[in-house]
Amino acid sequence: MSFRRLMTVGVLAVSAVVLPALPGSAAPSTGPGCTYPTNSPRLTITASPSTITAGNFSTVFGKFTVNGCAIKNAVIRIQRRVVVNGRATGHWANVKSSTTSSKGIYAAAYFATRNVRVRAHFSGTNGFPTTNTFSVPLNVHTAITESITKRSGCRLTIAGHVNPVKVNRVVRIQKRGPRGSFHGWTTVAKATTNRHGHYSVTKTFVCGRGYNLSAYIAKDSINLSGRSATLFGVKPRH
Amino acid sequence: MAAVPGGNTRSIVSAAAVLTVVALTASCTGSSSSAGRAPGSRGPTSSASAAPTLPDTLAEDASVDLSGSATVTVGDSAPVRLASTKGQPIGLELHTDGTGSIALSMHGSGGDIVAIEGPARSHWSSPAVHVTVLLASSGMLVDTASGNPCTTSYDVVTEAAVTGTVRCQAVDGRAKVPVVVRFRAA
Repeated sequence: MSFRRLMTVGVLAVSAVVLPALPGSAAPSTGPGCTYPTNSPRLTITASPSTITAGNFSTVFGKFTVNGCAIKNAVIRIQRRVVVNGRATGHWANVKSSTTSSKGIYAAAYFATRNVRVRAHFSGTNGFPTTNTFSVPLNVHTAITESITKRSGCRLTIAGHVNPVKVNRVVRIQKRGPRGSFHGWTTVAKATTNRHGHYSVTKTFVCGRGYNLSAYIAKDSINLSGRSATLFGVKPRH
Repeated sequence: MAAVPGGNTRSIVSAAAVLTVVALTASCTGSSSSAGRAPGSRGPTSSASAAPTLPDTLAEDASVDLSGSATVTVGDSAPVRLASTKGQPIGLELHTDGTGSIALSMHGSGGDIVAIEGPARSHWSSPAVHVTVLLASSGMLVDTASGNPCTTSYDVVTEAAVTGTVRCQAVDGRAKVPVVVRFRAA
């Protein structure tokens, strides 16, 4: 299945899970048992997980209440500021929106590809004032793949790509102990990404020995570091 | 403090979502002990502005994506079942000294969510792990970042499997309601 199709299926599945039947375009309001708002509304936010890998999503959700009562039918906009070298920069931009349920709950799936800070924003209407949450970090690991092709003479070609695309970046091919016996990583080869974010390196290994290999790319100004899944028990052949 | 129902801490559940009724506060049960290293990149989310530079734990740690499921039990009600999804695997990082960190988010039908993020280690418990439980149908929301303390206890934390239990007490009106999340990932 293609990556694009996987993403489409994933988004649909996520929408079904994260966004259960939400009300339509009615004005925000509280239930009949609630007094007219006298205090400021309270809007909460959680981004879970707060650290993801590019291509995966974080669920941003929370609750909108006033005087302890749920505010339903309120449009909550999920906004983000990009983070560069650990500092938020630029303006808040809308990335998703969600309408609160009868219990005041909102939720949205956010596929971030770089480090950001996110907040929830409600534009005041129907007697409810504009309300923002504090912002929370959403950090994103660079996604990196690794595939290995066995060649004659105990050579292995290790290749893959990174997402988001990063050009001229060093990728370290590292080995480790067997599953369940991790004692750290040792770099055995290096490659450099091209303009498409692809990398490839061919290296001669010890014939007959089993290798457990992973590709690693260091963090940069917009992403956390990335590490591929480990390929265990790779044995070069003569 | 009300007793926490359920007993078998080995059960197969992984992060689940629990709902809270409006304006609820929670207090918690359980013990805490010290962890070794508390990886920084997966700590609780909290307040605002300047983001500190995060340690590059992936440079040293083993990392693995797991899938799993969880049950959430609120008081005497029937357990709610949740599971991880394809685009949201359970992320686990493990250091050579056995300490690690977990980022777990699971969903249930109807929009229920359970999230567990923070330090993890076998046979270890702590109130410092960030836990959020949302039961959309009832509007119940328990979040340690909002002052609802919970204790997370891990039975096993390895590259192959993670099992544990989260215990909280939600306040429903004047009553304290135990909330138990049993989670398992492999």
